[in-house]
Amino acid sequence: MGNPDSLLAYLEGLSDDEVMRFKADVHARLPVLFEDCRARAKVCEIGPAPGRASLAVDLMAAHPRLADECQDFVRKMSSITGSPVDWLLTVTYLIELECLRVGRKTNFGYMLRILSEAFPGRKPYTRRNEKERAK
Amino acid sequence: MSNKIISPLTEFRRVTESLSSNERALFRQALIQQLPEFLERIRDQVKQEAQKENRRCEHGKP
Repeated sequence: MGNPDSLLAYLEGLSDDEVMRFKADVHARLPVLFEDCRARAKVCEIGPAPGRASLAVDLMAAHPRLADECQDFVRKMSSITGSPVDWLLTVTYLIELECLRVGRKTNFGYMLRILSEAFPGRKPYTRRNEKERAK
Repeated sequence: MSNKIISPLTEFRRVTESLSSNERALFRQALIQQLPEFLERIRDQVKQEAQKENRRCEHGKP
């Protein structure tokens, strides 16, 4: 961070179209990363779990439909917190809290199961590669 | 996600202005730690999407 050369390294090997898409994605997801870092600063938990960069970013990347399916919750959380992205963190941290409460490892698969159970009657959340394997 | 378009800079200011100096230091630490993987992950996804599109084009399915 703070070094333009290292940031430019992420653009190497990308076509013009891919660079545009990369910038758009970074632009769209940075606020979520900021929220995640803020939440971690508030709870003094800087280091992510091994093999995981950010729960919020992971969830958003894996499950874009989560956002569509939680619109009421999004609106409520947005009006309470004044932030359009806090809802994802809230869901994520509630899940993590539940994992800790029941003494399970906070692994992504278990979190997805809790998430699926939280929204009964809807298609369960699964990992992207599980979906591809099922096809 | 909400349909609002958020400027990352605006969001950065909003997120950090409510933090104490100690929390800001922790925020910075967390950001520095997560940013490389965050960028790497997006780069990989962009590459994968492009490869999928190329394969679709090769098979004549626009």
